[in-house]
Amino acid sequence: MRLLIIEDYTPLRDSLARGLRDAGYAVDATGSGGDGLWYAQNHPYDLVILDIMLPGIDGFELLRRLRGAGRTPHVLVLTARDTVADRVTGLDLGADDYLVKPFAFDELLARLRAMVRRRYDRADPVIRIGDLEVDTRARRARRGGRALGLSAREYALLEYLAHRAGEIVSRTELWDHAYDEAAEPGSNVLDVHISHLRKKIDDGWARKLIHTRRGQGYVLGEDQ
Amino acid sequence: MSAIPRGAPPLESIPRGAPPLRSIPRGAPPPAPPAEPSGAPPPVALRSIRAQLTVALIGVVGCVLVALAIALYVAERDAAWQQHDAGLIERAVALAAIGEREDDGTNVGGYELDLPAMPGAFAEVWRPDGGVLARSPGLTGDLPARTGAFDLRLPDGRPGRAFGLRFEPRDELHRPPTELTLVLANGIEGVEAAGRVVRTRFLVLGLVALAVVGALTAWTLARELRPLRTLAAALTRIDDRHLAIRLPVDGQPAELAAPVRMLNDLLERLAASFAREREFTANVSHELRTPLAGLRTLLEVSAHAPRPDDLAAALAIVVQMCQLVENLLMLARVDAGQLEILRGRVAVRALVEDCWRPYAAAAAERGLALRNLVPEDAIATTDRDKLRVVIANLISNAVEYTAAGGWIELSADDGAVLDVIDSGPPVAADQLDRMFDRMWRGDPARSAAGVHCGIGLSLARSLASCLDMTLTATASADGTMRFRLAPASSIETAA
Repeated sequence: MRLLIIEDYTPLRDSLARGLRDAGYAVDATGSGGDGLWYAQNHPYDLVILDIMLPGIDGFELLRRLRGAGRTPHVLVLTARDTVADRVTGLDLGADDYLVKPFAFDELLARLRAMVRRRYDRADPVIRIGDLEVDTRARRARRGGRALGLSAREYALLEYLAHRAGEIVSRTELWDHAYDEAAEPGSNVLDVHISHLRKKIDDGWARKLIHTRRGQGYVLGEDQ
Repeated sequence: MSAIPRGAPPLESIPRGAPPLRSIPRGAPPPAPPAEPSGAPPPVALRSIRAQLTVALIGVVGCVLVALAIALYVAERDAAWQQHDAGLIERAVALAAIGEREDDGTNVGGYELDLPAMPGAFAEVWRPDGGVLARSPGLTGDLPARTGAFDLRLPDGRPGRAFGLRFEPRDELHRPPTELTLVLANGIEGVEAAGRVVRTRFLVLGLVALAVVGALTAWTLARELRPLRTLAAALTRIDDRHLAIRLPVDGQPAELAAPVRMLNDLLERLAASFAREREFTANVSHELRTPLAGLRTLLEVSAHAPRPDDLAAALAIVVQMCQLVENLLMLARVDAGQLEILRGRVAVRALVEDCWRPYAAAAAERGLALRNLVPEDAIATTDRDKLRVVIANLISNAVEYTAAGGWIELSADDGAVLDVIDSGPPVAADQLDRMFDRMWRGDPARSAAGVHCGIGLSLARSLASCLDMTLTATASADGTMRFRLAPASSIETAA
């Protein structure tokens, strides 16, 4: 899942980005409202973590403009402002969740996972495709009860494919949702990761789950 | 890769779907509402306008009534006496008319005068030579032989009044006139009884009038003072959370309109003051929570996957928070007017070096060079500790906001106590003065370092003012920023 952090306090922004990358998210981070708005409008983020008191464009204004532009990332407002009025304003402007600083990092992770589930219309943190189980809580995948031992990037690709199981997912979409700005923009990287993932999931199984649609992308599913 | 599994802790407690908002109580719990005025009467009897006015009015009306009663009574009594005397004179004249001079041989030069019996009254007649001619029946002793009206004690011991006159008895023979003297006396019980009746009547009427006045006064005052009670009731509803209530001015008696308006003004000021305080508290909590959030997240992330410089980063945040808390305490003292200024001779250069030390590491990390051009002999007569806070905040500001790789210059020329000049970027001209506002959030152009702008500059300016100095900021055309700390009296030199 690709995620944008807009937070002007550098130590917090850096720690958040690091922790969330460790947790498998593709993370972009910025400290100013203007840059944040540009990022959010020009990249298909799944999630945005948004501070309210920002230099330049403040968080509420950013949210208003983002929703006005029809962008639909799920937004978690992360702020030290905790009055009921602030929360109501934030939620009414289209924020999906609200977390008050200081917060527990595990709670932030749980809320982000919940937002991802809602984004892809799933209530169960474990996604099942045939005998493949993707546990979004533990960030592990098993097939036929056997752990697959995926790398962080492979898991990120699988989770995105799993959330959209049965649909054709283009390479651009995979790139947009599983890689951040820091990733090398060579298309080869994606091919390598997909081929590793395919090997770990489908090798030794008669029924293949990852299918290539030539010129369109990939589908994760039981159907051919 | 970390050996510690990520995201492993069970999170079953987090509900699916929309997680509930965390509700963290803000700061300190709201202060308890002020105690309602209890029903118990105050221990000390309070002066009551109503009671005082009632007593005063009863006193005044009472005095007027007494004076009036006395005047009426005296007039009444005089009238009664005059009436009595007139009656007495009339009867005396009538008696005198009975007298007749007779000369029938047996009574040569004699007088015929039989005084009738008069109940309660006595009369006596004297001859011209002073001999008693006649006494009314029942009169044993003598009455005083005087003319005119006079008081006396009657022979039977009662107080009485008498009238004496001289008269000429009728004489059919028309001899040379002779004068007899007649005194008629009677009791005055009637007059005195009438006086008593009048006195009693006045007393009763007066008391009734006083009672009526008292009751009317009390009732009227109670009615007229009702607005005061209404005001008191309205005032008890006002506490720190209900400062928007205003007292009604329309319909108030003229005496209350002015105090009510003043109370409303006072409420206005109180509300504004409370709002400022709330705003400030909210800002302070923001300023404290943000670094706390950074610290907590850093430590939590580091606990899963430690990196060598994590502790240094955590320490930097803690140092920043310490500075913030120090500043907040100092600001609270400045606001409360509890700042004690202890002036002494301060060597500015040494103080600047002292202040720089805590920021040296951060400056080095950002590639900022320090140029301390303050002369060795620069001396300021001021409060060393307060000046230290001012300088520390100026240096902290410069270290945070100067673009990486720049320089910071400290000097003391042109009558300035200290100039802190940095290589920029400069703050936009229209923001220069706002920079000293509390909780100013920073010009994006100057927040390249992404560090928080809090209350440092605001505090520095407040403290400078306490030290009789001015703190001003100017942005030069060459892209440098200058903060000038100068004695309040010195003339500003434009940078």
